[in-house]
Amino acid sequence: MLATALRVSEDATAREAKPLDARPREKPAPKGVSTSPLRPAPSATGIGVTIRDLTKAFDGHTVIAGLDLHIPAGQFVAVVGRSGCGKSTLLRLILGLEQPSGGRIGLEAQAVRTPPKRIMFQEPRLLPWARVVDNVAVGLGEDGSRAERRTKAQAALAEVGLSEKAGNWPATLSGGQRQRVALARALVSRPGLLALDEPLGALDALTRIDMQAMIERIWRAQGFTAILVTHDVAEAVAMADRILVVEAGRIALDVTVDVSRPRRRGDADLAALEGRILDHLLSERAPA
Amino acid sequence: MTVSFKTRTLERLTPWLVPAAILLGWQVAASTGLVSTRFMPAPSGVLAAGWQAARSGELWTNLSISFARAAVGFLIGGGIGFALGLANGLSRLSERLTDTTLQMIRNIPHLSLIPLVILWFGIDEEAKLFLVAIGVFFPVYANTLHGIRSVDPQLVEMGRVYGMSPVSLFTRVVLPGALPSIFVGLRYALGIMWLTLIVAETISASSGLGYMAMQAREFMLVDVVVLAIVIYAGLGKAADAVTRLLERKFLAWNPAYRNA
Repeated sequence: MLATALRVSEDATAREAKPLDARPREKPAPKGVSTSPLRPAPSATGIGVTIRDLTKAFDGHTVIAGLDLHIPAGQFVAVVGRSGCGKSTLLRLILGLEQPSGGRIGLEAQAVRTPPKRIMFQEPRLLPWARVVDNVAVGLGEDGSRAERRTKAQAALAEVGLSEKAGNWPATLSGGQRQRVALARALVSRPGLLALDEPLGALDALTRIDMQAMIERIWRAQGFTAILVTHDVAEAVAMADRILVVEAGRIALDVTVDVSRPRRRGDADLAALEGRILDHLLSERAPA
Repeated sequence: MTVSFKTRTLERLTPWLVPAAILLGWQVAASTGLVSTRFMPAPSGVLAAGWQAARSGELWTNLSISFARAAVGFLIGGGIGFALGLANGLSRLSERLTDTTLQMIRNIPHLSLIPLVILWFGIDEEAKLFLVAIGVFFPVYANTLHGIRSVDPQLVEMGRVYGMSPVSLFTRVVLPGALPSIFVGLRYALGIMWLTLIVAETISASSGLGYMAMQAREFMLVDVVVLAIVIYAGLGKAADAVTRLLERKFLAWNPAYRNA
C-alpha cells in the first residue's frame, strides 16, 4: 500500500505544467467519432465499440431504449447515472453477458487475433480455495502450460504491487488487496477491453484513490479500452477521457474531459465539470 | 520455543484428561470392590480380555470382517449418494425426477428395514452391506446436494465470464465450493456407518465385532462385551480423526478449518 501511495505522489510532482484546457462538450450522443485530443495515437491493442439503436427489455420493461454510441479503441469512458438507469445493463450487453432485444453491438480490433474482453466486478469474486497466483491465472483460461500461466500471473501481480502475496489464500488479504488481485486477474490476459462495474464502490476513500491511480497508470501503459460504470461522479471525472450520463436507457449527456493526465485531485476544472454533471443528474427527477 | 512446545503438548493432551480420569476412577472403583466385576470389569480386566482375544486371532478376524463390511457398505452407499447429490445439484431435470422419491425414503428409519432385510438376504453379507449402504446414502446425498446448491452464484458467473469450460467450471468452482458441506455429510455418514453395522451384526451375523459381543453375552463374558464397546469408541474416534485430517488438507483455504 505504501509503495502505491508513493508512486501516486511521484506522478503528481512529475505533472506537466501545461495550461489546463477544460472544454466539456454537452450534446446528445453523436453518431460520429469523439476522440480525446490527449490520446492522439489510436490504440492498437484496444477494442473499439460501435452500438446502433440498441434496445434491451426484461419482461416487457425497457431498460435500454434505442441507444447509439461509438467508443474508439483505447478510450477511457465513464458511465454515470442514477440507480436503475441501465448503465450496468449496457456494460453487460457490451460484454456479451446479456443478449440485446434489438439493435447491434459491433466490436472492432486492429490486432489479427481479437484480444479478450474482461470485467472487474464490484466484489473481487476470487476463488477462496485457490492461492492468489492461481486466482490471477484464472484470467488466462486454459492456454499454455500451468508453469507458463503462473509466470504470467506473477508478472500481473507485480504490476498491482502484490508479488509477495502470490502464495497466500484470498481470505488473508484486505479488501483493497483482494480487489487488486481481481484487477491483476482481469489484466493478465492483456485484454482489449476492460469493463469496470463499480469495482471500487466497497473500498475506503484512501484505498479508492490508490486504486484509481493504479488503474489509470496500467491503462496508460497497456492501451486497452476502459469502460467504467460508477455512481461516483468525482471518480469518473478523475479517471475518464469521456463521461456518458445515462438516463432512462439513453445517453443524456456525452462530455469529453479535456484535462491532461496525471490529474490532480481537487483541480478547479475537474471540480467544475463534476458540479455540472451532478447538477444534470439531480435535475433529472425534477418536475417537468 | 520450549514454552510454546510445552503449551502445545499440553493443549494436545487436554482432550484426553477426562477419558483418563474416568478410566482411573473406574479402575479404583473395580479394584476396591465398589463395583462388582461381574457387572463391570476393571479396565485391567478388559485389557487382559483384549490381549487374549488378540493372541487367539479372534479379535483381528472379527475386527477386519467388520471393517471390510463398513468400508464396502460405505463405498456403495456413499458413492451412490455422492453421484445422485451431484446429479441433482447440477441438473433440474434429475432433481425433479428423483428428489421426491428420495425424500420419501429418507423418512423411513433405515434400521426398521432389518426384518425385511433378514427375509430378503438372511444373515448373509448382503444384509449388512445393504443396511450400511442405505444408512450412509442419505447424509452424503443431502449434504452434497446442499453444498452444490449453496455455491456462490457470483463465482459461477465469474467463471463463465472468464471463459471456463463446463468441466473446469465444475472442478475449479462448483466442487471446491461444495466441499465443506460434503465433508459434513461424510462425518455424519461415518457415524451412521458404525451404528448400522453394529446393530446389524448384533441382530444377525456369524462374525464381526457385534457378533463377538453378542456371543460373549451368552457366556456372561462381561469383559469381552466391554472390550467390544471400547473398540467401537476407538473406531469412531479414528474415523473422526481421518475426516479431520482430510478437512485440514482440502479446506486449508477456509479460515474456519485452518486452526481446527
